[in-house]
Amino acid sequence: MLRKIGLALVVPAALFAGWWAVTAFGIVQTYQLASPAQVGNELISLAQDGTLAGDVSASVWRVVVGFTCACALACVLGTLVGLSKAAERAIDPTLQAIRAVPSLAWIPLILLWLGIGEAAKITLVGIGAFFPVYVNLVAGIHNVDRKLIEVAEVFGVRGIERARRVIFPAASPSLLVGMRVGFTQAWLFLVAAELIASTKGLGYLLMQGQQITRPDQILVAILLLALCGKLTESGMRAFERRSLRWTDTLGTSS
Amino acid sequence: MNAIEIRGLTKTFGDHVIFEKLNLQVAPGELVALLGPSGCGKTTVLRCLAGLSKPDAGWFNVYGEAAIVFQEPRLFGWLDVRGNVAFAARNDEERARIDELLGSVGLSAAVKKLPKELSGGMAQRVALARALVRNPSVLLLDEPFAAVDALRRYELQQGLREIVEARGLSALLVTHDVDEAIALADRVLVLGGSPASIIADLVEPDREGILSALGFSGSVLNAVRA
Repeated sequence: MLRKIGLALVVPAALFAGWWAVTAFGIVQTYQLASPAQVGNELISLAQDGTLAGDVSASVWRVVVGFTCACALACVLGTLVGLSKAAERAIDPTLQAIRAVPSLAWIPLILLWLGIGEAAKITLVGIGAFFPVYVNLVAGIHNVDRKLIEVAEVFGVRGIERARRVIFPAASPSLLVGMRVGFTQAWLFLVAAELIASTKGLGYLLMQGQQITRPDQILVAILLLALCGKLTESGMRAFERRSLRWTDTLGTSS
Repeated sequence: MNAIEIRGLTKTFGDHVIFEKLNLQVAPGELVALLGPSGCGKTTVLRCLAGLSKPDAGWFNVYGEAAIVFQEPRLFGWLDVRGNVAFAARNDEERARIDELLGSVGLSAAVKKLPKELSGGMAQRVALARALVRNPSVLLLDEPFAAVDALRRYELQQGLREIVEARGLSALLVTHDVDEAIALADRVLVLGGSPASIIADLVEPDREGILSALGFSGSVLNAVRA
């Protein structure tokens, strides 16, 4: 365990050392790249005056709400499309077309419709989180082994019962991958939303840092985003591993 | 009244006629083997009986509750052994039977195991227990031991024979294994030709009888005799 963690820290430690060296020896000017000490001080001062907690909690809230709503909708639509050929023909082509729209293209429209309030940001986060969950759930349902469906069939387990007892558990590995990717994607879309119009959040911190030429503040925001993204990803991965202990695959072997 | 009755059953896949006007009976308490080379349509007969495949013509009836054991265990990976057997239970009475059933197939110690932790033979015994939960009167067996090694297969065959006799079950066993047919069946139906038909109906046959019905002659039969 310790060895695994140690191994994961090698690259960050090397990057940190490199960062420290280029700033300490004046290879890069500090108005372009703040030194670790400056970033540390900025982090402390932002934490002390309370802005940091406000920005982080605003961002986390948007991500969690956006992701949860998107996930719920993706589960409903994914189930319909996965289980019904008619629903697939009716809904899937439209969703695939919407999916092909680059994330940033949504911003003008969402601002126009929803203004610059929370709803706009949460919607954009939701768009980002929706598709990975939806696509993976549909694929998961389509890939359920027909042989297992036949077992349900011979025991007369049909309809909703069959979906609940056979199809969903069998599709769950794929769904969980979708949720993990969706959560990560939610963070990406969050920053896009916050860069453009917001007065709080990590994306705002980033934007403000650029406007007042504070590389230390920019780096604080970037480091916090990396940390949040990584924590989310690790949390989802741990949840996935726990839920999927039953699978007999390379990924779950210890 | 027969436990299984098939009259004039015909099944085609596209232009290919698998079998045509097939007739077959299994008497109550009888274990009948349906023997034939791979791909001759024996599994399709069983799938029709289990309601998984629709025949193009003909009539069949299975008297009482039937249960099928597939060639592969087809267990639900996310359920433990007990959960897999419980999948087939419809009520508390059937659920109450699970532990006893798992005991009768020798799996009392493995109830909490996940399918990925089971050997092929153990997994197939779970599938057999699952098939028995509803107390069926007819068992449909699709080469259930084909994927198990020879020694385990012998053990499983004996276990199956005991269960079938103890419960007074009727069974139709599909197999391509001549020795399995001899070891288990009261009667062997040999399926052959294209479209397939029953080319021999042999009561407690020996290898020679079966092999000659399958069209082997001369040196093969001599080798069997020797």
